[in-house]
Amino acid sequence: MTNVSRRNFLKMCGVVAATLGLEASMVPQIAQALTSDNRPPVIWLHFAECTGCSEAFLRAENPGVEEILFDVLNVTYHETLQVACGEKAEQNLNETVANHAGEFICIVEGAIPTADNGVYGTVSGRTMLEIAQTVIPQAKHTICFGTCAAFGGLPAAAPNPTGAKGVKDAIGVDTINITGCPPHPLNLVACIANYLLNNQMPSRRSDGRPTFCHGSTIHSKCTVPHGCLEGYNCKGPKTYNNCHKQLYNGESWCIQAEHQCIGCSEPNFWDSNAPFYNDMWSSMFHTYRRYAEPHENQTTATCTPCHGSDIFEEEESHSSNPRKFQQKMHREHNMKLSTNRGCANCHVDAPGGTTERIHD
Amino acid sequence: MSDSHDSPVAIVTSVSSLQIQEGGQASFQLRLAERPDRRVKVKVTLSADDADISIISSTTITIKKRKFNNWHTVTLAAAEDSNSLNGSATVTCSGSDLIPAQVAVTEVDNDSATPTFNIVTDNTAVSVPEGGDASLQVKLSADPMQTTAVTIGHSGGDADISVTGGSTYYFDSSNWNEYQPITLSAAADSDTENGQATFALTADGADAVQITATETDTTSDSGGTTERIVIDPVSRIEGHLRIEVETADGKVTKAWSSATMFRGIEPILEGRDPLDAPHITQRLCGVCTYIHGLCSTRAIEDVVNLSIPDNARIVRNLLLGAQFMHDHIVHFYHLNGLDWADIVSALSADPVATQNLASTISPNAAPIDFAAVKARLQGLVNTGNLGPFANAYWGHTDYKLSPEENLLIVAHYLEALKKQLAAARMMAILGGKNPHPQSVVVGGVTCGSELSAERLNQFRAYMDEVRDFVENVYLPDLKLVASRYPEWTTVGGFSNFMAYGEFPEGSNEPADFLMPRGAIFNGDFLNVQPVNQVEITEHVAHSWYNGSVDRHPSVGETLPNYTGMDTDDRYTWSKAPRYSGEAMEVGPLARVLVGYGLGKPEFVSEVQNFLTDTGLNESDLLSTLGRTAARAIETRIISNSMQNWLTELESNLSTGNLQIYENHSMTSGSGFALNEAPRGALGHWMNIQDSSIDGYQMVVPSTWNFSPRCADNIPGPLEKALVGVPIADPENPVELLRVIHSFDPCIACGVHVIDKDSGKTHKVDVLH
Repeated sequence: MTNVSRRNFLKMCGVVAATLGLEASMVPQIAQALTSDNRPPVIWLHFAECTGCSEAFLRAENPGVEEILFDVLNVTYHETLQVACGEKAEQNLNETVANHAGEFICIVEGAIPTADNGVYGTVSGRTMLEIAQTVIPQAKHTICFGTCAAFGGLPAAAPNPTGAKGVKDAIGVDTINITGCPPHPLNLVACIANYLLNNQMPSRRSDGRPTFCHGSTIHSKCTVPHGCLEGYNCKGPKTYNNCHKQLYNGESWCIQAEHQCIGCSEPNFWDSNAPFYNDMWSSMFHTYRRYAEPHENQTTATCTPCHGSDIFEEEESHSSNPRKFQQKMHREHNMKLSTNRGCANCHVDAPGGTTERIHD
Repeated sequence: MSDSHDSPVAIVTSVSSLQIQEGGQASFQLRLAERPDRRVKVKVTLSADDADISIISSTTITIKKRKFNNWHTVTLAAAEDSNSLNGSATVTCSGSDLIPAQVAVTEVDNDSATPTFNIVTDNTAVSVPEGGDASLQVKLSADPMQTTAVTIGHSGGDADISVTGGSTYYFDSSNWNEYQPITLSAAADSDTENGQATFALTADGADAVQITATETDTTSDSGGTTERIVIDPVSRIEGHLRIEVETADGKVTKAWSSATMFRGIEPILEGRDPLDAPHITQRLCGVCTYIHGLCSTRAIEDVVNLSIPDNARIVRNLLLGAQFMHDHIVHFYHLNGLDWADIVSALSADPVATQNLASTISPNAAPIDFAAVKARLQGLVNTGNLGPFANAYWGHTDYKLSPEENLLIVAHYLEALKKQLAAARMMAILGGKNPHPQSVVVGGVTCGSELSAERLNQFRAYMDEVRDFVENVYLPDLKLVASRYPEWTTVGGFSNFMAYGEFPEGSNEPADFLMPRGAIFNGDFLNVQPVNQVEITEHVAHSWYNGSVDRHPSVGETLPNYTGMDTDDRYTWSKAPRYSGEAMEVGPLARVLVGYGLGKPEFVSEVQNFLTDTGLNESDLLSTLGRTAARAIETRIISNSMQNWLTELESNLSTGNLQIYENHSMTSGSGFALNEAPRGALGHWMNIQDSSIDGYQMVVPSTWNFSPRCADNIPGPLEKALVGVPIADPENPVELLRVIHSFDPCIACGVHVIDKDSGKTHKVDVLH
């Protein structure tokens, strides 16, 4: 490695350390762990998926895919990236399982179709279910990368025509679950760095999700400048992910693009969070976000109908700290954040204002 | 290029020949090839055999030094006449110190006349040995007076017999009397019948000639002389694909395309809130992410009859343009590149010679330390673990690049891994993230506060970075591959093409599209036909679905019924879409040919530049290499237009036109959207009842390209394109991958294959 790329690499390791919540003094150790000569073998399995998780992996920066493939991991099987096809590809898979049983890391993308003995998905003539049952129990660790592999995701949405399940539900093996649709690539890299550093996977919640990335809701730390989207049916308050911290592609995330969160890292979100747009969303969006105007105007506009009215005149905090005020109101009204009833449910003059009660 | 010239500057015209309908007008464009020393005048003169043709635009064009590159339009008219001759003329564009250019103009007469020439063949009944070829010859009986295409097409009977050479010839005054060969091939089959097929030779202005071809079967009871090769999984694609081919004498004679996954997205959509459909359909594919969500959004907008604000239209175009740039770069380098370049050979390259090569073919590219790249590659090899590069077809005799050329492509493979990030960032700015952006909603877009001057400037910076890579690395590399693999201009082609068109630049669909809509039959790309979506049907005769009738997607059914893998019967979950009964290739080549055939200036100039630079002919485009080239050509066309769209958006915003969203209320009814994904024509059809989805069908690009046979046994585009492909080593069929990858398979979108029969066919087995 040249000096320049070495410096870049150390910078990348700093990003990984920050993601894991480690001290900067750990950077040299992370660098060493990531570049040992003995790159661990990795088998990446594709099941019922859209390849979006692999695409997300391709967007990894700090370190990038090139560094990961050349310096960090020995990815012996990955259907989108590997050059070998057919029998030769299968040979790569079988040899890794045979020669590195109990050592290799398995990364899974996509759900496993289980209905009718798994006939709804095959690779080289074997069902995905059969491949999962053969390969995954041999792995040292299995990381489910994306909501489909972890919890079933889209193929498992009602009526779940193919009996699709997440890996643990399908074959009963404990997995490390990094979720999102797509998941963030840096969360995968950080997870692997943690393993290379400490020889163990990071600490996890009971649903298998690492706490460093899935420990708190995006709402709890959300700092978008253009106002909270709760009134827009945003699922941020019950979605455990770190999108707001990592940003996608180093640039943005859904809420920065002013689209409410649909909760894509949560189990069963396609059904439990649907519909993603409700009447409140339509009237709010039409009223306040129809034009590409600066955030401040929109925030004010959103707040004025309530905050300027006599409803809140005795509240001091609403002008000095609107966020705190908002939370207080939620508590006082015992507001069900999951249903996003919103102010207009009771206060007919509120934004989205209708003269009728809004029902879920 | 220097600023002054001693040598004269060439005049460039957008076309070399032009047709004018009698009573109508037609135009071509001209510009200078290089910057002249001073302002010049170009005179446009006409030498006409037919006095009815005249120039109606200005006959003197002044070209300023700095604007030498702008196109100037010359318009011609043909007056109505009473004769039935196709008059002709030559337009000469000339000027002092300029190299003149000529355009041949033909008036297409509308006065009826009896044919003045006939199609002549040396044989009208040929016998074709099974697994072999037979040929006949074709010419005309008299001078057709204009360029006339003679096309042979299958008109009935045994689908095992097909045209494998000379499907279209162009005859004119100079060659009408010269016989041209046509090759018919009979695929090896397992039956012992002597099949018969008829073919029709057709040309405008002449009566059709029927050819009867009889297959002489060579299959004996003890088995044939053919081999079967199965590739499963095909890697470096999206999704799960299985390809089986039969070969004889080192060439593919038959092919079957199957896909092996069924997620059942259409049943999942049933009964849901229509506004959720774009989020769900977007997850059909994470590689061509975005476009399904956009198509679904547009289908709903069709149902509720909603026009979106200009700004929303532009933001959507910019997102899709970024998606095309990303997708095509990743395809060329990461999915397809290593079918042409041998990584192992790159290890023996001389880095200095590679640097010299790079300065020659891509002088404006950012410098690369080739010695470092080689060392990095060597380092990987020294670990003994090649990772994703392990166990491929390295060293195959059909890898034709020199070690230095291989190192160059490998270095650019790594460079492209970085550049694709910039393209993804463009999408993230306007869409929140990539893959699966989340800013398009029915009525417009949500990303209002991201349209600040600062963010749009950032978008432009990424766009310029990617454009620079396309111009200075991607296109030169493509031309390098084209020059080393000229034989791939004769292999892997198809003859029917369809594009729905994309990138609305105004509110009229499809008239305002950058990429026009049209269909091409029998390779006759100068005769683009309009597309009428009611002509689309889907067959299931060879697919694992109930039903035998072909249906329009709006009344489509998805009733799975697995009956086992049987290439003689049903062998795939993919349906077989047909347009007017024909299998159609969709994708970059279809879009480029339709744009070129319709004379869109952006397409004409880019295609002609490419042909000039590579020394190839128009007809060479109907091939594996043409398909790969079209992808790069359209990347350039789109990236040029994106600059204009971004400027238009900035201008709207700065003049107070800020609207990005239009309200609507849900209604019941049916609607559809016809769009272009990077991989080709994409249609969504939906029906909404009482604010919920009551029927949703998608016909996606890979269903067209990887279609199985239809009820009439006509193979799909890939199945046909593979016939005739040479296989040097059946254990290492890199040639098959070149053709398969040239279509850029994306199987999760369209395919639903179940293969219960796990014991029978897998792997690259060679079944003797």
